[in-house]
Amino acid sequence: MGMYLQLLVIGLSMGMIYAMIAMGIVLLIRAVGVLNFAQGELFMMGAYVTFALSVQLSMPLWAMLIVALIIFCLFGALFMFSVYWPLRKSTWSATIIISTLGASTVIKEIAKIIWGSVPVVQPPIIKGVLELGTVRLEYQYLFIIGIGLLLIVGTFLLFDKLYIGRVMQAAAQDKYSAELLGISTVVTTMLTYMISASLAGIGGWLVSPLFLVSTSLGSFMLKGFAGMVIGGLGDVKGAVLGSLLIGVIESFSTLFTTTYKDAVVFLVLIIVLIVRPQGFFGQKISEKA
Amino acid sequence: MENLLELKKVNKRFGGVITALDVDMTVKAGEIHGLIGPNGAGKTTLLNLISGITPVDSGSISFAGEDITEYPAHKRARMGIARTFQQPRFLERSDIEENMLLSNDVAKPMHFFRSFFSKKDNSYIQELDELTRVAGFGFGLQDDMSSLTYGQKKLLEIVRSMLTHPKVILVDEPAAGLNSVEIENAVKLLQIAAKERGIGIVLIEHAMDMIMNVCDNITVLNFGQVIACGVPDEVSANEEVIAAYLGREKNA
Amino acid sequence: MKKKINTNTLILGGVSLVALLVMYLVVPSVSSVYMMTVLNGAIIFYVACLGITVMLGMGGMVSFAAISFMGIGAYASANLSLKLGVPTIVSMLGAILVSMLAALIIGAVLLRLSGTFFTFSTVALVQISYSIFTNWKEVTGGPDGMGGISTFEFFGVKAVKPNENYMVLLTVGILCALFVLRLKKTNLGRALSSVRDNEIAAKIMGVNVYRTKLAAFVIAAALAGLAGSLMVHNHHFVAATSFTFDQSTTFVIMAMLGGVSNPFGVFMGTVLITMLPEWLKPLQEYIRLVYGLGVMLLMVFMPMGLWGLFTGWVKKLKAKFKIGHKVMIGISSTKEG
Repeated sequence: MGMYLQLLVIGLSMGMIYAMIAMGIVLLIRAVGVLNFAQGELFMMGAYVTFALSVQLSMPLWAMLIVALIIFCLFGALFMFSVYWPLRKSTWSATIIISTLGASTVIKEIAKIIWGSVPVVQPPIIKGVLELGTVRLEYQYLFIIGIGLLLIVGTFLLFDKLYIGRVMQAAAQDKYSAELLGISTVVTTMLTYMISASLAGIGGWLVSPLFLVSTSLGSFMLKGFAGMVIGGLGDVKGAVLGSLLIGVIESFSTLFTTTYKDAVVFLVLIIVLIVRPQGFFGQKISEKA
Repeated sequence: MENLLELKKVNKRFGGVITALDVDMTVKAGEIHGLIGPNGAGKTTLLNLISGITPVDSGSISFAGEDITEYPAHKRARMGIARTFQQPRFLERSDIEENMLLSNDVAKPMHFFRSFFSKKDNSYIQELDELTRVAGFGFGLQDDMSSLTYGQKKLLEIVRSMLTHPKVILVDEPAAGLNSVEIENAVKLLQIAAKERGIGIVLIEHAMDMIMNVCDNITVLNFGQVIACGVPDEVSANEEVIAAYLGREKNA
Repeated sequence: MKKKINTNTLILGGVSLVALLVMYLVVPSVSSVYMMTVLNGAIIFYVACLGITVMLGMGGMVSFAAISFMGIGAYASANLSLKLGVPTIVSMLGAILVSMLAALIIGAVLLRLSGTFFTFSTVALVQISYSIFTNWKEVTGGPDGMGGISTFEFFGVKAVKPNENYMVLLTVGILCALFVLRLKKTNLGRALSSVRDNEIAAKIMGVNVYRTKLAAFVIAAALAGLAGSLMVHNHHFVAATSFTFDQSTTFVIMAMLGGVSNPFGVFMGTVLITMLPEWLKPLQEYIRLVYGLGVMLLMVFMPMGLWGLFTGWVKKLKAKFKIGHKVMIGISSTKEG
């Protein structure tokens, strides 16, 4: 029993991490219609930047968080103006996808040049292990669930309840009308990129104490994507629930196999695609003739 | 003459919006059948339903004596339902020749391996040349699509649909954006298709004089419902039509 | 209608003859053994990249699956020749067949997704296949890989030295390029272009979009599988580390750099990307950074790649000197004639 609880908590906390990546991707898909292949590298940068600030520059937690958030937002803006903006009028959508692919290589290589290719260690924010009978859990997992929940709910509120969120959605859905109404799509798009980059960056910060900080953190994006597709294409709620599901499946699959852990996750993804191509929460979107 | 295309009680709604409500319509071979109605009456939707781009909610569509309600769009195209669009749709990144060869593929379906090993089929060129003359312009076969004007593309789209040797052509607003000479040529093309080749034509158009002149029969749609159907004179005298559509045009 | 004399064919024929002579005779005689090995690697990648021409250049689908099918082909060949001892040609055909079959099953599922979601599902596929290649020891040799695979042997003639392998690889590469060139001119090629440019228009033109995409996916897999087979017979060794996602992105970059819509363009891209690390030895550490930046700039300034630049230039030249035959259609032809 204790083991199952432990696996569930670990699964949910990893799911939270995947959800933060997936949400960022969905927000960008809705705002600019582009799948961002560099989301995983923004996530990885989150781990490196917080490592640099807290370990290399030994900043206190609060200062580190503020500076890190500013840096994430700058990354978001820089990313938008270098990868999306020059190509926004391109008639071939493949060009933007491949450009984000190029960007992911660039970010990864820059990280390698600055921090080297040897993984570094990030100490946990809250040290220690929770022991309840047979259950042994690092506090970091619980911390991830807490912060993750906060961020996810916060993003929901931002986009559903607050004026700025609704403006951003309106601008995402109908660029032309938004411009007519005096909503600057540049600003709203930039805000979306900033939020997306921050979600990814914080995700990287949260997960880094559990793993080593290295360029291979970028591959977490794939799990986030799997969650997004399972949840429903382009739906924020679906992306979160799908990601949590992926986390739990991955965690419980270790009961049966450790070598094929990754393959199990993607196999689930492919099975969902066969049975329900639109995902669990998505609706079929048909192109207008 | 038997009915080539027959719609029975066709329904379609998008969310809460009804775009087709119990629509009945028949088109005979060689007939030019006008489809008119105010904006948002569901005319283009009806063409999408017939060509199979959008599936119907209920009702049946039969074509050449066969029930095609469940058939996918490409199968309907191969059976002989051709179509043009409000905004012409070509392979913009290919040259004109490739676009025309694509329509030739519909007219003369060929196995992939035969296509791989046989020489380029140029048999369509004569017909293309004749029809393009009627359309009143010319081009080099290897020119890029972008070398054509908007009006020429719209005319070429009708020509292309005729090259597939269809039984029915669905024509969506051929006159929009064309100058008067081009409109005249478009009418000539449609008349050749209907009268010389016996193709049934469904014609959506806002230019009322064109509709009244070329159509044998007219169906009037309003809010997805057929409110009148008959020969042009009957339709233009119909009170409901005048109220819903013609009246508004005249006042405008 | 009027046809001008076809000087096009003449020029094209002359250029290809010179190119063939250079590739078959000049290159092997001036290159070092090391250079030949590098070139052989480039040709193997080229065959796999041709699959990207079919998928992306002709069909507009971004797929990373090439590396998975290259792996499947490689392991198929390795097993066929190590365990059954079949001749090279059978091993190559076997690799093609196995990867086509795999692509048919996998593609039938993945192609239900559209656009970017399909793209990402191919990324998932690469992860799954990598995981299987690393762990399925009985078939793949696991992380240690499989060695001792026989070299190319046709009708009793064995290729031993790199320049002999080069002859085999070059011939296969040219045949594949010709196949793709021809494919563009078939009904399947046109159907693919129509799917790329406008799916709705494609349906209206009687194109079965799903089946067309699936056909492209299977053809691309066949090319990738063949590349895998070439690889094991060239290296005599295969290991899972060759089939990573990074390698797959390199394929896409190679294809895009040269110009994804044309086999010649892809050739330029493949050679360039393979030779770049050789030419830029001192910058070794930054080479991938250069790729990444290069790709980003390329997408902005010339999405059609180097070949796109070249064809634009040829087009202008042709127009200037009125080279090439032109079939005139419609009214204007009467004015000219």
